[in-house]
Amino acid sequence: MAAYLIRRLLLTIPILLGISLIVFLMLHTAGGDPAVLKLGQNATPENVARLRHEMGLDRPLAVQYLDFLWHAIQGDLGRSYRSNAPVLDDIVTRFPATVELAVAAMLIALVIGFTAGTIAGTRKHSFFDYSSTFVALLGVSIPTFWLGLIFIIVFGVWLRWLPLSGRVDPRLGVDPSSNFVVLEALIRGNWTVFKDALEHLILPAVTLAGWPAAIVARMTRASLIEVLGQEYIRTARAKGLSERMIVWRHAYRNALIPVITVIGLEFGALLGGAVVTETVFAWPGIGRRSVEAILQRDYQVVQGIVLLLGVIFVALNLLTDLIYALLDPRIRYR
Amino acid sequence: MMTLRAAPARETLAQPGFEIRPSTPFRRRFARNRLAVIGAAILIALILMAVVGPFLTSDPTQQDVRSRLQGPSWSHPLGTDELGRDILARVVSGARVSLTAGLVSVMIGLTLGTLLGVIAGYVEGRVGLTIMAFVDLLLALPAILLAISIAARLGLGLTSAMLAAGFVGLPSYARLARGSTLSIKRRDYIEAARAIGMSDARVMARHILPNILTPLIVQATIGVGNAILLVSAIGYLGLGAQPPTPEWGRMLSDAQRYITDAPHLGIFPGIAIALTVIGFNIAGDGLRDALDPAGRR
Amino acid sequence: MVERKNEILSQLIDGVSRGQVTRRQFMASALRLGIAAPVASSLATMARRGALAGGAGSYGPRAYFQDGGKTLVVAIAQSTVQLDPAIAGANGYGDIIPITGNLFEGLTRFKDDSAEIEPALAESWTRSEDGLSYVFKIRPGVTFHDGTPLDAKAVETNFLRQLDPNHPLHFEGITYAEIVFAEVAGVEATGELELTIRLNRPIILVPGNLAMFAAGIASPTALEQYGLDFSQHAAGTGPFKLESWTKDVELVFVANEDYWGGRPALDRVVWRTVAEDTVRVSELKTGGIDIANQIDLKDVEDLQNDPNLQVITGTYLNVQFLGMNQTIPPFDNPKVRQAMQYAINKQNIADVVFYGNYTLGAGPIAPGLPGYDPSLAEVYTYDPERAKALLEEAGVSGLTFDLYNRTTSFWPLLGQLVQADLAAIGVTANLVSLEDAQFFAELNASRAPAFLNDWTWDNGDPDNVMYSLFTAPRAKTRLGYENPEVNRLNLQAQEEPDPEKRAEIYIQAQRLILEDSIKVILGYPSKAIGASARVQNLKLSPTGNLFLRNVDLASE
Repeated sequence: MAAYLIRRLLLTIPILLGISLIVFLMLHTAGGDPAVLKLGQNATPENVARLRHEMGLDRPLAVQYLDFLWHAIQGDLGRSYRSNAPVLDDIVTRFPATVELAVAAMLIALVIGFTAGTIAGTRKHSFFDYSSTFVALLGVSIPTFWLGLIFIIVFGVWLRWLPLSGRVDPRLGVDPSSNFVVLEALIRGNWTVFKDALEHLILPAVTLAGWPAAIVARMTRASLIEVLGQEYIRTARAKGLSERMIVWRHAYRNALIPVITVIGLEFGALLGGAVVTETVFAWPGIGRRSVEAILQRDYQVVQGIVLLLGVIFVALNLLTDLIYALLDPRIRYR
Repeated sequence: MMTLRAAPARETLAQPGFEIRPSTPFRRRFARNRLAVIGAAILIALILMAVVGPFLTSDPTQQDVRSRLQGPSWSHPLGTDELGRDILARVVSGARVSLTAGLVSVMIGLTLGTLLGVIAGYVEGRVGLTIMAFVDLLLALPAILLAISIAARLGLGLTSAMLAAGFVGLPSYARLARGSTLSIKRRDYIEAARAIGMSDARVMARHILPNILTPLIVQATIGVGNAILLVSAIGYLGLGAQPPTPEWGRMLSDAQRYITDAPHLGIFPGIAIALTVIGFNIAGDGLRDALDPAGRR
Repeated sequence: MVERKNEILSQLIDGVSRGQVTRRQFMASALRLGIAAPVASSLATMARRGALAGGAGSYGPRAYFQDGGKTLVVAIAQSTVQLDPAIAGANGYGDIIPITGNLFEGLTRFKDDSAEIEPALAESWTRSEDGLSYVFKIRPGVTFHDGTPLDAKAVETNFLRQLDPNHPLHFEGITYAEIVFAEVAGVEATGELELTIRLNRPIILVPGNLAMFAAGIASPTALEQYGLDFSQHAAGTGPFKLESWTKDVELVFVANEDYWGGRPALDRVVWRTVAEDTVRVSELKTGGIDIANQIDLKDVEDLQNDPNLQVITGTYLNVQFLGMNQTIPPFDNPKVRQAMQYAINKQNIADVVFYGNYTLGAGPIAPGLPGYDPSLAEVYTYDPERAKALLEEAGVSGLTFDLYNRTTSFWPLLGQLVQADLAAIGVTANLVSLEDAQFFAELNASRAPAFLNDWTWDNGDPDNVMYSLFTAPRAKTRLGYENPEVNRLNLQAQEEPDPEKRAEIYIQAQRLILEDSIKVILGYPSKAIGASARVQNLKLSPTGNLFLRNVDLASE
């Protein structure tokens, strides 16, 4: 196990190198000189030339890449081309918001997905099965941004139950980017902030939960049906065990394995890709920041973010595999 | 979020390497799945709409600012938009844009992905591993970031959006193609073809490709729906099709300004996207069930 | 446990009495308290022991400030990239202009509701007999937010860093110097509180130019200490101080207790970036924000009918136009350029895009400025038949060209209207939509045959559009334009102290420009600010500033 872990960890190095190289090349061969973009419409060619030199953009690409790597290894992701602020600051201040949103969305998705999937899987061809299949279908077919807009209109503008955008009411004076507002307010027992932050979280989290909930539901259903048809379940039935016992004790454990993969993948996608939802709800997370950075050709920031997401992706994959081993004693890693 | 990781659910469930079993008539099995029939019906209606629709409705770019932002009426069944254009005409010709975009991007992903996957599976060894490492890298990049980068690189427009959606889908096809190739390459008829001195390229083209196509086609059908979602998301972010092209995602983002005064502007394109994607999803499911009785749930 | 519960309750009641917790919020919280209090107390204990608390390092949480102070929440459309006033304007403006005047001040400043200049960090100034030098008396007793005292040397440092590329505090991105310090030959602290500016030519624009955001005076100590990180520690002399900044999300300012003009009435200002127009308006209606700087003009009427809100509208020194590059065919043909003038239905733009809050285009100078002349609107009127005839005379048919357009806010809509107008005279305009940065890069590289764009007056003087757009090198790159007579008039106007004579000169120059038909002047949009009815003394500044020094917030 330990050897396997070490090998997996070592394997992440070339993956991260590859990711950083792809992103680096993609951005640096893209149109639009960052120096021009930085200086804006009033810049003279002399301004631009001087800035290109100062930013090191006049060096060969390979040198620039190695320079980036060298600093990245030391934990220095460079400074934003646009704001001059260190990229790490950007990431550290933006990431918690995304994590909070992704965790909330995943929790919602898991509760809905498991419940619906289990009921549908144990009562194949029932009315519930058909209707949940249909709802799950909607979940993967409705554009997220559209769902988000409808939520904003219905719950924010018409009913006025929930706030429209942002992470917490600015008047409460909570730094919207620092740490995990909901958790922190809970720990500090600050109910005003807790309630406000939770209210802000609901709409985007539900919007974001649609897709993973649908997928988890479908996976759970399919997986349960498959497992319930297997030999050992039939044996258990023959032994006269109750259906509930069979599902919970025997089927679930095995049925969960493929579901776990999906959850891992989906959670990684949530962390890296809440771009649209974050844009619709003005959520101050990493997704929105990365879109801005790409559009502004802020290479350094994009590189930093993608590298971070790469690390997370790799880590989640590893975690998923380890959970496999826990759930299924037959799987042994060498 | 439009994660659009090319539906991992299916990737895990689809059994690589299954083949058409001619013994049970495909058509009967497809028809037995009622949902699949509905899916096919939606798709046929959509294709009809895309092909014939624009001849039946008015010009989707014809402005009439005096009658802008009107609700549904006899002359404008779905109302008019912010420039007085007929929304029905725009939604109908949007079908052409979105279907084209979905199909083209899937073709890009499918072709490149299959090519890479088959080679990786057939050659194995270092070449195969390198190819798959590259494919996995694509998977590690968040889909929408990849899409935005491509759009930012090639400029705003539908072409960038299609290309982006194609690349996002690529890894799933490559993985599927590789898996299938690995499972059939040791079969006798492949070995035989090699033994009589057939070149590797010919073996891949003549013997492997036709035999792994089925799961790829199922995956691709569902992929079209996902590609349409992604293209519309890119359009919504303002990076895809540009005005006055009637692209559904772009129509939605333009409608946002009037969402409180004239919600119908945003409702119909949204329904159009959802219906289309549903159509491809259930048609894909039906296809899989019909083609692969073993994998039927 | 009971004690803890009471504590929370008393906090809540306190909150209600101070007006930061609404009754609805209070009821909900109170209900929840019954269940939640036990959990809370145990968690609170854990937090006190430090078992669960988030680190108190540099990314730690800021103290919650539910202290009952007056906090004003302002929503701005774009994010702020930089707070260093000298660099701030570099990459498009972002939304620096509404913000910066509250943090930094120049020697002069705009009044809060007009483009008129008044003394700020300079108490007074004199112009020499020959007009070649200005002497500014610096206001005594002013300190920067970081405690550094203001003197002539500090101002000199601020100006020299912009003028001299080799100055140690010259950061790349200082691109406004060309405008702010136009014709400046030298800057020198000629006394403890006296600054002398020498000029190449006797231009009269200096006080106006020094009121621009890019001429804001920053603490030289902070500049030296923080260098490129200055934005995070920005220190000026304005009525508010920077407390914290989360890029693209929010900026928090607190009142400057020692402000030379007297402490502002507000305790705190939060600037939130809310990009979507609809969301900004909805937030305003639901009380999420107090001020929406720049609301969609289509919502003006709706908001005016809301008794809890107020809308402040007024002229905004901005001109929108369709520019044509006369070195690129087909616009090398004057007849084609003139055809464009007759083809575009400006009234349509006013109605559809701006809901009537729009003055139809006349000359390049906007209403509210000397030299604006409504009669110039009659030089070209909407006449598609005439446009067609002109195209025929020019001998072109089936004309097709690329019309460069921006992707933000109303531009796509406006572009499509123009496109339809041109289609009506048989001209195909392909809209090329580009992100701002890319758009300006193309313009500056002379690659756009025609483009839609606007210009906002930064210094409240007609010169800012007349010289900058028609005489400066920009005229050549973007329009391929060079008219010696226009140049002569623009330079003459820069030196003319008599306002009436200046206006005459500008009207003359505008006529020449219209004759050359280098731009279709579409019109001048109004600006509308939406605010809660509780906000008092809010004024609309035509220069795009949002001055909060006199603004107050009535209690609910």
